[in-house]
Amino acid sequence: MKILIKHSINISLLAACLIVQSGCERKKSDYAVLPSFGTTGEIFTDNFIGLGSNFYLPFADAKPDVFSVDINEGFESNASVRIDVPNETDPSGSYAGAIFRVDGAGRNLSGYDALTFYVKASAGVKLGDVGFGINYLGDKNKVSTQDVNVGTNWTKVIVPIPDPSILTNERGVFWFAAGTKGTGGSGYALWFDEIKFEKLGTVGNPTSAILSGQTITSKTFIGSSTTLTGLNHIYNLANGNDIVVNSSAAYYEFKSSNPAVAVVNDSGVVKVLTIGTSEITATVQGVTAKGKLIIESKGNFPGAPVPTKPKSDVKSIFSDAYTNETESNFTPGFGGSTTLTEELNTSSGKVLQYSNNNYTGIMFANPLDASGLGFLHIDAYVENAATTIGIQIRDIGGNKLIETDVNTGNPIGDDKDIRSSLSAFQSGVWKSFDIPLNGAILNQKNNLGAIIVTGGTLFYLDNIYFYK
Amino acid sequence: MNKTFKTILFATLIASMSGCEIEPKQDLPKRSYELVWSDEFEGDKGTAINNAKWVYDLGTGQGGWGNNEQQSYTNKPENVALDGTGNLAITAIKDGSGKFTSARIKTDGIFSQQYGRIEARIKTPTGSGIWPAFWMLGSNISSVSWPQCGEIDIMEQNGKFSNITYGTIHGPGYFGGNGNSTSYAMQNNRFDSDFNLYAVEWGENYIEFFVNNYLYKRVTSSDVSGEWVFNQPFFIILNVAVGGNFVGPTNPYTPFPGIMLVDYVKVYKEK
Repeated sequence: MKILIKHSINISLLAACLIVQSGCERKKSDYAVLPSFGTTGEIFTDNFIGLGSNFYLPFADAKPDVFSVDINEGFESNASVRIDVPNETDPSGSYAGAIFRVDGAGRNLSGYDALTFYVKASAGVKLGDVGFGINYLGDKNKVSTQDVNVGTNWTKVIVPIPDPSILTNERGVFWFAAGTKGTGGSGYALWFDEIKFEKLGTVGNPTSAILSGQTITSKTFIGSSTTLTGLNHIYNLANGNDIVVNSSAAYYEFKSSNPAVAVVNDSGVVKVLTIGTSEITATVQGVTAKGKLIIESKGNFPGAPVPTKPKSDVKSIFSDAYTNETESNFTPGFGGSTTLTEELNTSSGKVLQYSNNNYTGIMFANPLDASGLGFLHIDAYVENAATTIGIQIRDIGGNKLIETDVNTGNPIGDDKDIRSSLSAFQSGVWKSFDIPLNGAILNQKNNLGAIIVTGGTLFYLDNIYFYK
Repeated sequence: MNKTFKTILFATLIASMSGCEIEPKQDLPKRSYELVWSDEFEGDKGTAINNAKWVYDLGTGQGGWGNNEQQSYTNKPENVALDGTGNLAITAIKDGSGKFTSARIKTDGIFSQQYGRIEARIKTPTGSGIWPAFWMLGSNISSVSWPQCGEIDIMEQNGKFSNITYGTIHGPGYFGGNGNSTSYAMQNNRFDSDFNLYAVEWGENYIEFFVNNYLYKRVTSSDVSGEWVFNQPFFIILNVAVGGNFVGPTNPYTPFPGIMLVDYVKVYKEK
């Protein structure tokens, strides 16, 4: 018994000495025994912290095998996350991009005010996008900052959280997308270290915006629908820099001044219900955001001309008058596309609304055989009579794959296309176009796979069908 | 034996805990002060400053008050008035045409003081190009001019760097960019997030600078490269400048209005 006591005293004495010696570094031992990662802010310090095993999930179109832990580089350490951004011409993917998703329960990050990390690169680059909140489960809380200057020395980057209170259960703790736009197509290495959520206390002067702070008037119709874009936030950091952060709608509270005319939901989707005027505004953490959308609803949308071709002569893509020959994807989400496409339910039937279009496509689920057909019919409606809309009809060939030169947009491989323009409009009047299936696809139109839609910015389409 | 050991263990634990304090308690000289002048800024919202205590500096001064400052000072209530909750509000405004107005008030000709403790509790505005200050000039400025009159900047901030405040003295041979200046940076906080107490304790041949009663700068007559011009009365100034040499221009993200709230200004003399 006595021996036991003596023994325990010795151990206690040893413990006391250890405490004294370690002084302020006691946190390390606290850290080692953290029971769970419920509110853990660290993502990668000297190693990954509580992310589980299957946490690195590249974007579908990114080069997948770019990620490693580098044990020779690190910010004041010997370990960092290394990303080898591929050359633009790399056949397995032209950029590097991935999410780090906790392989397990989400984290409560509501006690932090920013995602922070150190980053450097093998050459001076601009990091395209970096943030948190993408989890492939709706990406509801997505946040990022863009075009971050990265040099060859370690630099700390701060991505403020617009409203930490919504991050009570988030698995998507980090994401990045890095390409070679700024390096003329040459790949490079990126290193990240000390990736963590922090309570800095020095993030200030928040200014949030919808529509990038603009006041936009939308002359529109019953049944039309639009999604608020340009959701960003500006903060002043302790280093004197002002940083712009883009976010999802989840950080905003939206309001319609006249909900009888237009309503707005939590995702920032505005739907017009009746004739009249309403102002759509927003707040972030109780502070009014800059920018507003003024809805001027002119009433019922004028219906497109009703098609008269017999059903037997038609293979339809989008029309209330005909059964679809094939289903289509109207929102393919091409890289770099700014287009918003909405299917409107108007009093005179379904209409496709395109806003802010630069380029998008109508991707047929199954190739359409137009061998016996001579024309593509499209009805188009614009408010601005000077609008010109580009239409490309693409045959995807026997391999049934869309093959495009990413630099020119031209078809390659066994693909063929013809291109024409919809123009010479009258404001506020539907105009019908019949595009002959000739030129490059005159003798190859048995595997039509897509209609590419370019320019025009704001317009409406209806009755898209091929006919004899 | 056992008991002795426990005592030692307890002592070592205490020692190890106290080692973790972020800021050790400062051992400051004990001085005894009595209040001789103050303004608590009590009154209804929109009330003008007490003209028995303060006068206005108006306009754009010479060369933007010597610093290429961009604002024009007014005495309008939107630029300078009580806020109705016990504070003075000095507000920098950007008007529709991009011009700036603000305010600057001083005790010149009404009250001046030589030595003692001069303090103000202030919530400062931030943002690129915003330049709030609580400072003093030698009362003899009209006869000897600046910098011979001396200048004591009790609080001066470059709004771009929201967690840093400066304490500076200017005198003959050490002025402008060569003033005797020290910065104090907050850890994990910003000066615009709450009120902070800015003070100097000033005596013959020394001035000490405090933030929230933390001494961060002590300057004596032997520390300056020129003549020590601070053994004489000074008057008090409060202002918010916009742009100028010290802070640089505003940017599109600078928040306007930029409001400096002053809870009180108090002047003490050593007993």
